[in-house]
Amino acid sequence: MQEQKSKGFFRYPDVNFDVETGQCVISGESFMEDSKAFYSQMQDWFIQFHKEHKDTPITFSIKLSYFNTSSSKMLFELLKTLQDIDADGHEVTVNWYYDAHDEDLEEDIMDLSFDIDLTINQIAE
Amino acid sequence: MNKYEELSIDQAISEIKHFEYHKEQKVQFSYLGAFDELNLMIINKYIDFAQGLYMSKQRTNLFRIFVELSQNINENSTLRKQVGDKIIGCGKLIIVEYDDYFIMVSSNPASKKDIETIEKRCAEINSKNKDELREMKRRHIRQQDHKEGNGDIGLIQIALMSENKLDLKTKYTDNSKNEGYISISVKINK
Repeated sequence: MQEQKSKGFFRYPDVNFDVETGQCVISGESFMEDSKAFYSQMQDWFIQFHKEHKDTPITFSIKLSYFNTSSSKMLFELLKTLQDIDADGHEVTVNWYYDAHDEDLEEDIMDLSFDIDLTINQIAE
Repeated sequence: MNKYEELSIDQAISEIKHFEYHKEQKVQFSYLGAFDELNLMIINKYIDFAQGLYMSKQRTNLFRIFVELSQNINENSTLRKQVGDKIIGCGKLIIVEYDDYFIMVSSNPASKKDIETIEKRCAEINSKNKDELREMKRRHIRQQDHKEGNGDIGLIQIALMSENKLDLKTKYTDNSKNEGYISISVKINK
């Protein structure tokens, strides 16, 4: 299994998923229109990682300064996938970082995290 | 890095052949065309630097509402243009500045079905307060049918960010009412 890595560019965030450590980071801005194609790759990676490295905890760090509504739908799907993985006995932690002055972003994160049964640490910076 | 990321606003504007300025009418920005990657980048640069808004909350709101409106145009416009290997929606975007607020207007031709859908959706959105809108947004995010694009949620998000009612205008262009135009005006307080 390979790491998932891509450099962000206008509308697309940086992606850095480490297969050795289980540390997974997306950062930057996310407002592409083809969000399903982009985020499905991450979803598939998590599912494969769960099959092959169940003993390595997953730490998913979200450092998006902005995500559009198309991305928010796929972020929710990612959280649901991680929720299922966690329920299957694989340790998962989500750290969601945001600008402490960005109330809109904070609310968006709360809305996405609502009723997801997972440890989601919302970290204001 | 793509060269357009390095452009200053003056350089970016000079690259655009079909932008218009109507300073005397306080129309700060007007664009008519395809909402493809390149033009989105240039419009983004404009919003970054226009009127000293850089790093301000107004810039954040203008930018985020612009993203959702442009995606609406790309999804709903019946006027399409091929750009590279993609078929892109075309429409018009205007930003008008007043003393205490901005108005951002997007308009595009649309099918009867989309006009009816958006009329119904805007009426529902405008009937709700902030908490009800957030609940509505959460409900839509959790729907299983995830079609591509911002679908049902973009207009809700616009209403939440602007904290004002959406001003929707629609018009049918033929007697059989199969086609028409949609214009969405969003007020962004300063």
